[in-house]
Amino acid sequence: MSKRVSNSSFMKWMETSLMPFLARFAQNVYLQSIRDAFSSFALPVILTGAIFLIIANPPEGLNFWLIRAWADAIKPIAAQILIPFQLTFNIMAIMVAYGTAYSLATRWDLDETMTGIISSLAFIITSFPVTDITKVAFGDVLNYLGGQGLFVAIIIGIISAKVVKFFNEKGLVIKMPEGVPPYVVRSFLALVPMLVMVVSAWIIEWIVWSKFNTTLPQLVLDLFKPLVAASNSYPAALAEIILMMLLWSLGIHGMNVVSSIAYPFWMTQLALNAEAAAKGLPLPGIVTEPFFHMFTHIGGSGTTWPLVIMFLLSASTQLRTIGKAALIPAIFNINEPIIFGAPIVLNPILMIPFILAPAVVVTINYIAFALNIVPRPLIQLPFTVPVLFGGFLSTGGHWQGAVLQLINLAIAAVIYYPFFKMYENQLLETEETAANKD
Amino acid sequence: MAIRGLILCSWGATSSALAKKVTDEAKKQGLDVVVDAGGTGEFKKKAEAYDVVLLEPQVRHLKKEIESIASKYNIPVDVVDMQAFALMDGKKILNQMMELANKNEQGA
Repeated sequence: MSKRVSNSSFMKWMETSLMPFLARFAQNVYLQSIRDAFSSFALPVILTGAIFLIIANPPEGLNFWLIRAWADAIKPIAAQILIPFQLTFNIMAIMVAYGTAYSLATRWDLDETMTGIISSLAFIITSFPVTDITKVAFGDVLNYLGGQGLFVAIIIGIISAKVVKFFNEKGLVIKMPEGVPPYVVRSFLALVPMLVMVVSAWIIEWIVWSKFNTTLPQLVLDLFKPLVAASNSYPAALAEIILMMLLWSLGIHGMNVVSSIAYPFWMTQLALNAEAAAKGLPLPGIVTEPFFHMFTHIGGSGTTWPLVIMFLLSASTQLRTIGKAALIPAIFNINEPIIFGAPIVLNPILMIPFILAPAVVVTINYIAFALNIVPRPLIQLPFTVPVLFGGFLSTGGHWQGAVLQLINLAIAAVIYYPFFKMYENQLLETEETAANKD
Repeated sequence: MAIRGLILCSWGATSSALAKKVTDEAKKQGLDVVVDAGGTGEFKKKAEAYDVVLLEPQVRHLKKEIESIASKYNIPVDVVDMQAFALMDGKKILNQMMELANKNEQGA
């Protein structure tokens, strides 16, 4: 009989030494809060705006008379149609500033809403030139409230929560006597930290504006520029996917960990794409959020959709049962039942294709988007959008996106199959021995 | 008295399916058990309302954090049996939950 896979000393070392170390990283409150800001607070705003972006830029790929007629009809009022996009999707950094501060405040038992408000206000102040406001074109400011302001939004979100925490802990807040209604207490508690944050943001922005003749978001973006450019490269995408899959192989949510650092970069690229699309320019971003959620993790992290089908058709009772349990979640790109049920975690056989298949898929994606074989994504969707729909919608309604997903599934199937067979044989042997004993 | 259980995963996606299976199984056995689902992030706000908490395997690295919150309300915490989770085995998980709750009851 084959040895149980998870008992080797290397696997044990990973579970007892490496895992707690990585788990500490995964539990970092700042990283968790940044991720929440994007995936819970910015997402609905992005989706709402995306609808108008698509209305104003009808998918050219679908060359029906109806779509052509639509495109012609809206041409003269495209700018008007884009207003709901400009004031939702294109000011997502305000939501990120709010969400980062809110999520941190939740974790630190502070007043979440007030902390979020303080952070958004401070962030908005840094986006405006400190000059006669009647002479400022709002369209210029808009850029900083959207994709170009994400880094400052995160930084201000963290600082705001820290300031609120500090003032609360040191008791440097206006406290009301007993008996004053809670909502009054609440507004006075927020007063001092709000004043401190607003004034600091204003002074810093004033200095930046008079010294560099630019806004704080632009200055920070210039500092991050080399990193933003590097994040759009193939090595970055490959490193991200390998790290994600290694973490998952240990049973840690790799997407959560990696995305909490990568989100600002993916979203900056995605916002650049949306802005370019609104202006009718070519899209610059390749490594975006949908690059991973829609085009790589099809059926769940590790492109495991094909594996679910193989399990369903397997001769092994164990794998068949897991396949059944995993089928519905897989439609919505959720695959914990497979990852922990097969299990893939700490399984030396299945870990190999689990890392290899998505790495190859990332390569295909990069080539397809970089060479413009497939239109680049410009819309972030909830990660649960099923295959085909996800590829079609995230590219702004291009069928090539859905075809790329299908090709990725086929490639993943070819990579998974030999390892699946190997594992199946091992299980069948065990199942047979167990049956003979009875 | 009814036993109120909570199953946690990252966002409340897989746990809601599991919670339903366990609730159905409890109904079938005629037990007064109500099981809800949730994401680990919202536990702090919800903790008070529950008697027993199970973590899905993908969030087992958060056990210490969850335990420190749960201990304030004397709620026992455990990780869902991996095999039972994979097979969405409501019966096995119900048993695990009941055992955990009863053990806690006797200890208190």
